[in-house]
Amino acid sequence: MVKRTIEEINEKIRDGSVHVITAEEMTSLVQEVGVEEAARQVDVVTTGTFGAMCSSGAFLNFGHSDPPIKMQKVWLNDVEAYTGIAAIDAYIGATQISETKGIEYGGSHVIEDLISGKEVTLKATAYGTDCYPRKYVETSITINDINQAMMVNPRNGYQNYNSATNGSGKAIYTYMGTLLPHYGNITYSGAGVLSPLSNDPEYRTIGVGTRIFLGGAPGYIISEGTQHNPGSGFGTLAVTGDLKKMSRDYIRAASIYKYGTSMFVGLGIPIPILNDDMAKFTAVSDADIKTTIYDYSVPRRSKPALREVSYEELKSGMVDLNGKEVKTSSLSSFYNARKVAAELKSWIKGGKFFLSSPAENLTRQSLSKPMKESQVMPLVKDIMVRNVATIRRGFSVDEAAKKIIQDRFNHLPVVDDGGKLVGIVTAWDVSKAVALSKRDSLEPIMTKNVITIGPDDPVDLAVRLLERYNISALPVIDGDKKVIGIVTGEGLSKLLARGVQK
Amino acid sequence: MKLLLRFNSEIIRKPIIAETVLETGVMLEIERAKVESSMGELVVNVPEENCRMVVEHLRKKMVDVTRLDVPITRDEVNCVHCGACVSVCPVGAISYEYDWRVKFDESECVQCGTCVNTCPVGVIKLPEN
Repeated sequence: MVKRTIEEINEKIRDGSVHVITAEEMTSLVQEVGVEEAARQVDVVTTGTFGAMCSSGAFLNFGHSDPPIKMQKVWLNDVEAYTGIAAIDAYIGATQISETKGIEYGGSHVIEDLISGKEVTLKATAYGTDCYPRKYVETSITINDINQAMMVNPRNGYQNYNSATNGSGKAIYTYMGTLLPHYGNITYSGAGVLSPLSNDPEYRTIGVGTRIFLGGAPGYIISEGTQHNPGSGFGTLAVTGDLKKMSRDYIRAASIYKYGTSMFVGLGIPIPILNDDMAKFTAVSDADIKTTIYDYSVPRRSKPALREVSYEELKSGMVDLNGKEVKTSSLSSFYNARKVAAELKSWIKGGKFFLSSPAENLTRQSLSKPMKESQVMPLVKDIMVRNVATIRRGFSVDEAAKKIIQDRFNHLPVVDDGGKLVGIVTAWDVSKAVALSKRDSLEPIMTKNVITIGPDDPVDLAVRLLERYNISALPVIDGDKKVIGIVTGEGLSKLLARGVQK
Repeated sequence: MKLLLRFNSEIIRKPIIAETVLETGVMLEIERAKVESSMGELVVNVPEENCRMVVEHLRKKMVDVTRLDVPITRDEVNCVHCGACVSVCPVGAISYEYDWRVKFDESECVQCGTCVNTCPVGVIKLPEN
């Protein structure tokens, strides 16, 4: 039974005799020589991850202008940073987007520009006080002009993360990247075998005060991360480090198509092999680390879970989903995660980085709760029109026109003999068909790829779909594709006018 | 040689590809097709030696032809090798190397542009046509 302390390991780092390997190397070593022998040989295992970590940002102190200003609003390259702290402090969040460039440029890009030494335009407005009379300032600064630049990321280093796919008929654009229709691809995030918390799943050595690698500089864990959910293996970490010492190799701005901005963060944690248990934990392999593939086309908190999958399968490039081979790809860079683990290893070997004992352990009890909503969310079934007129396929355009006039519906869902939705025609389609003298059949004029909604979906989703596809109505269908109602833009406006009621 | 063919609404209903194959005797390999009521877009692969002849034939038939001789480009230095582009590539032109670097096979690329949008660090570019 091996037993060592952090102090003993630090002594070995000092005298150059420390044996450090990466978590990936540890997995192979344990497979070769077994847990006990690996524990005897290895003092420290380094982990690493390089993923898009939205919950990132930095506190900046700009120094005082003359006359001084109490910044009420502040922008860096047109990206608003949060003030409400003290006169000249602000927090720039990675996902805040530019007021002029939109999601192409965000807080993460400001941070990357600062790290790269580029000039950034600072603008601030204020209401003016006796001690801070100034109401406006505009200047150009670099990171060297700032007093402190403290990266503080409230939720990083997810122990595990969902894998995503899309069961709908349209491509969707999510924080998990572009998801192709009909389960066209699967994306995942997380470093698997190199994932920091997966190598210390009981948080025995990782805690508050643990010295880590953050963005190419030494940093610290400051507490459990927000949404820390150890109960289901979704532990998270809040971390901090000095932005001025970081490198663009390990901090990169990201703009996720049709979603927003985020920041790639290189984060690594050294795990001291204090005993055989720690050697066993760090021997974890991609085959042992499991996650679940969810259908992200359902924009609800609970998405349909399709299957459990291991990182070994995800990293093989193909996953079997209901008998279909689906291509996978990662959003976090395993190549860079390896670089992080290797860099941290070289710091320790080179006597530049010492390990710290946690001042406090991370909780393993808490659970992440969903939001308490005090107002009942209206559902589609509460507001849909139920007596919706439909027409059978095979009927003529004239018959559709008659029905539209008779039932005063601008939209006519087309159904098959079994009552299942097969298309939709609008008053506009009918007019066009008449104008072009194509009146025999509905088939060529109807829209076949109908955007629909379910009765239990929230009204907010109906609004989003009407907006996104620039349409004026959504047939409401049940599980058998039977039309049970319709939601129209017109109907929603009326509701808005009188206030949504149940 | 890959060619991007654009068909306007006047010629979209005509069997131009079939005619071109019959008249030139050149086998055209269709790599990508998008046909809507008012326009059509095809990417075809043509053997290098017959390329000029095929282009002439198509242009006579009012098809807008663009040679796709400059493949998609990636700034490798600034790529973070996340792989967001890998699974969206419809033709498997993008894959992971043995060391998890992202690899582009330019000869397979049909320039659909999906990876351009998907790249979170904006290092993939389509040539200007």
